[in-house]
Amino acid sequence: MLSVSKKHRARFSLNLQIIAFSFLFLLALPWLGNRYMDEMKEFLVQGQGDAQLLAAQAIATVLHNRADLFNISNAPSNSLIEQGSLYVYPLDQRIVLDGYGSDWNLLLAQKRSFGPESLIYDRTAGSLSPVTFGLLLGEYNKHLYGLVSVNDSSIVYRHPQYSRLDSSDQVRIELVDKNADIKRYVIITEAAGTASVYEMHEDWARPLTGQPVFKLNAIWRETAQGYDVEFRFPINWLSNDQHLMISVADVSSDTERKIDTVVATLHEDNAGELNKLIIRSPELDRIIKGLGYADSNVCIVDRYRRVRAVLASQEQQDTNTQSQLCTLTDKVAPELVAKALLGESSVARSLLSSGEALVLASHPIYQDGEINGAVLVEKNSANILFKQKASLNKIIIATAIVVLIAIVGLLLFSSLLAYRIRNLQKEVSSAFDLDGRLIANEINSSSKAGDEVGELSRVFSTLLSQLKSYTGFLESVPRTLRHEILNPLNTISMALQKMSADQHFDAVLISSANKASKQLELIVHSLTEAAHIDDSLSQDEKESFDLAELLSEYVSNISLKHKVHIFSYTGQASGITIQGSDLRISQMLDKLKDNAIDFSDTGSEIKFELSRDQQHALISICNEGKLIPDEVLNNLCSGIISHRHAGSGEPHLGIGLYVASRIARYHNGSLNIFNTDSNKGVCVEIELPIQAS
Amino acid sequence: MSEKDNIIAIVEDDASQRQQYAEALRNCGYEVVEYADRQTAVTAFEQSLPDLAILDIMLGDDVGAGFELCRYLKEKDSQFPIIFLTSRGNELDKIYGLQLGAWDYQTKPVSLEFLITRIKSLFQIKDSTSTGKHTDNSKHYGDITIDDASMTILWKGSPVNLTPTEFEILRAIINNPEGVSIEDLIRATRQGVVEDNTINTHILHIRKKFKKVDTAFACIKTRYGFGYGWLC
Repeated sequence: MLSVSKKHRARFSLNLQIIAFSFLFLLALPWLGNRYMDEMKEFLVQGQGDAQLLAAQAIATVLHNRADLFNISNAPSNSLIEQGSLYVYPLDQRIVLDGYGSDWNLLLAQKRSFGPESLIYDRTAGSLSPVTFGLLLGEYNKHLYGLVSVNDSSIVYRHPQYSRLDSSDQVRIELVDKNADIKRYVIITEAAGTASVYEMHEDWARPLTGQPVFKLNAIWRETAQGYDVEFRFPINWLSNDQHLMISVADVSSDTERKIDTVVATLHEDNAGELNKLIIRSPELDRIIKGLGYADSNVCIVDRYRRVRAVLASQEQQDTNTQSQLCTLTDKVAPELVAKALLGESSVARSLLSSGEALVLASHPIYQDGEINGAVLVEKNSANILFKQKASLNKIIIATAIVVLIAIVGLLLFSSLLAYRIRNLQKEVSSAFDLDGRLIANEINSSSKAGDEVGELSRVFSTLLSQLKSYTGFLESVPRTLRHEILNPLNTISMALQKMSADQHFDAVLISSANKASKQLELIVHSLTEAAHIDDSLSQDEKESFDLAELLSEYVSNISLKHKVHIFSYTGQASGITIQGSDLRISQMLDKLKDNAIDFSDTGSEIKFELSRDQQHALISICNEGKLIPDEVLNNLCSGIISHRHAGSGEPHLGIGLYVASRIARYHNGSLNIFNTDSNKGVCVEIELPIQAS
Repeated sequence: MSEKDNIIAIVEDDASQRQQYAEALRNCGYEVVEYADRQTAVTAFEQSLPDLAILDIMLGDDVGAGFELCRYLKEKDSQFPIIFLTSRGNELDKIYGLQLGAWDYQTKPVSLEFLITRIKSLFQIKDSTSTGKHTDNSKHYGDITIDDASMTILWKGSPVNLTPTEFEILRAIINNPEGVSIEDLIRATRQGVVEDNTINTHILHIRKKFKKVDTAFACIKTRYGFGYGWLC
């Protein structure tokens, strides 16, 4: 097999290359997917915004010209009155009447404050600063709840000695009942705790009946600033117009016990009137519920930005978190509400801390060309995000699988390719023997493939067959030469034989002509022998024989034959068995012996040595005489050209060494030729494998 | 039987060589017929067979013509004496030629003198075997019986069918109990210029033929570096 020169070069196999490229290019896929997902999300959120706007518009359309639903008086609107309306928040849970405002939760922030601007009575003519109080109203289960937080530095409780009820700090409630009558109730107490409620005369001094009113419950609690009163009464006490006013009467001296100031929930300019209650319209709620936007929060505000109806999405109802849309409207999107109330519909988006986007769409509601309110539709993009995450996961998994399959596929493919190329390389290499001689003229691996490797294989085949025919020509040269030379030589030889029988010719001339023709003959024979040595060897039968016996006998026999030189043998006389042809080994020894004789000094010693190790026998044949130049040592056995001048005058073509090395090779051995260390001559060493006993 | 009665056919494409052989043989009194190619030779052989044929293997472009002619003649007469005289000297050709039943295989250039001697002895062998004139000249050397006249060998009573060249090699070995050198064997067989290996090839054939008769045969001993000896 032809050995391929292996330089130390970093190996970067096809597989490695493909893995590297796969990672470079295939890993871009998830990134692209991510980009795509982001774009998709943006698109979806955008689409959601548009859809919400449409929804807002649809709801608004339903609510156009439905002033009745907004419960705003059809009379020319009195903005002050409207603004003085008291908003009743819908409560999502029952309020425990205990005087503590904690169960009002977030609504506490919505507490509305009243103070000097709505002072409706002042006995002290401004010498005392009136009390201030905060008010929260709420509705739950057909009851109206109220929390009044009064700032009063000195609380004056009712005293049993005073029969008049206007002799202590008190909270007053005025309302218009179903019969359009005005009812007045007072909440007073002798101490913190459950307070007494009486229905009062117009003068607020005496109760109407003297019997406490039990359907209006109230709790009085002292606070650091003053006191808090929590109360409750059935909402059906109120007329359809829902008018109500709360006022706080302050008594500052427990000795004088006269009402000093009364601060009401209505501006002093509107004295004599009552506040209008704004309660979420059940009608509106029904309508928007009926619209079926179950997955969004819907909020309807009136022109004073008061929430009139809320529809919490199913999702939020499930999680039992009351929509913050309406309570937070002003915080989330004050601009949006403002825009809507100016007649402009819009979509806004805000990012929540959770990374979700809150999409809010608003649309105005018209009443006879005027803006009556606005519809807000809110939807959390969590759903979209969730879907996005789900699809992202799917994409990641799918991409991973695809990448994996692609890599595995590419690996398999490249392995196959590498395998085919390796096969091709092996076959091409094995098309030549160790000496670089062509032994095959066809490459079979991949030869039928239609790709480049196949093409390469076919090109190799073509090259090999061309090379084969050329080599064939070269190999046939000796045979042809032999035939072409020997025939005329035969004629010459026969002519010379006839001439030598004839006395007329010069015997010396004929003799030298004969000698020359013999030399020619020898040359041709040598050439033919070398050219056919491998073929001849392959015909031989191998058998076991004793190399030591052969060699010792050989040396003793040639000593008898060649008297000019001294032959010596060192080594055992028998006992080294090798596998092969004894005649060929003998032939090899002949060649080496002739060679040694040719190049050794006359009368010098030619040493034969045989040694062995476990597996090999080593024959060395050394002679004293001309050295071989170092530069030709290596290719001595491969050529047919001698690099030395033989002393014998015989033609010396170096064929002997070639034949000898072929015979050594045939015995799975090797032949090595070198100058001796002492530089006095040349040694040939033949290493032959010993047959395992 | 006089030499004049013997007809020798020479099949050789090279006219000058052919004429020289023919002239030399005619000078010795043989009747010689010459053919330059296989076809004319076969046509003539169809009419009548000569007594001996000298064949060149390559006839012009007809590469194996000599082998074909040999096969043809051997079909007609298995004992027909054939001498290959050729420039094709490699061992494979030689082995093939001898396997076909040729009596001898000579490589060019050949000594005319030797060729004539060979032809004479071949005719003698032929005569002695075909006429059945069997004067018992056989000699016994241990298990082997040699009849020089008929060139027959008996090994432990069984005939060993050797070609004349092989017979001569064997006889030379047996006649020299001390062993005979390769050079002597070359001279004995009147080979022209011969590498040692030609003799080796003959020895291999001889051993094989003996082993056919007696697998234990090991009497021809190789004297490495010298030649062969008979050791029995």
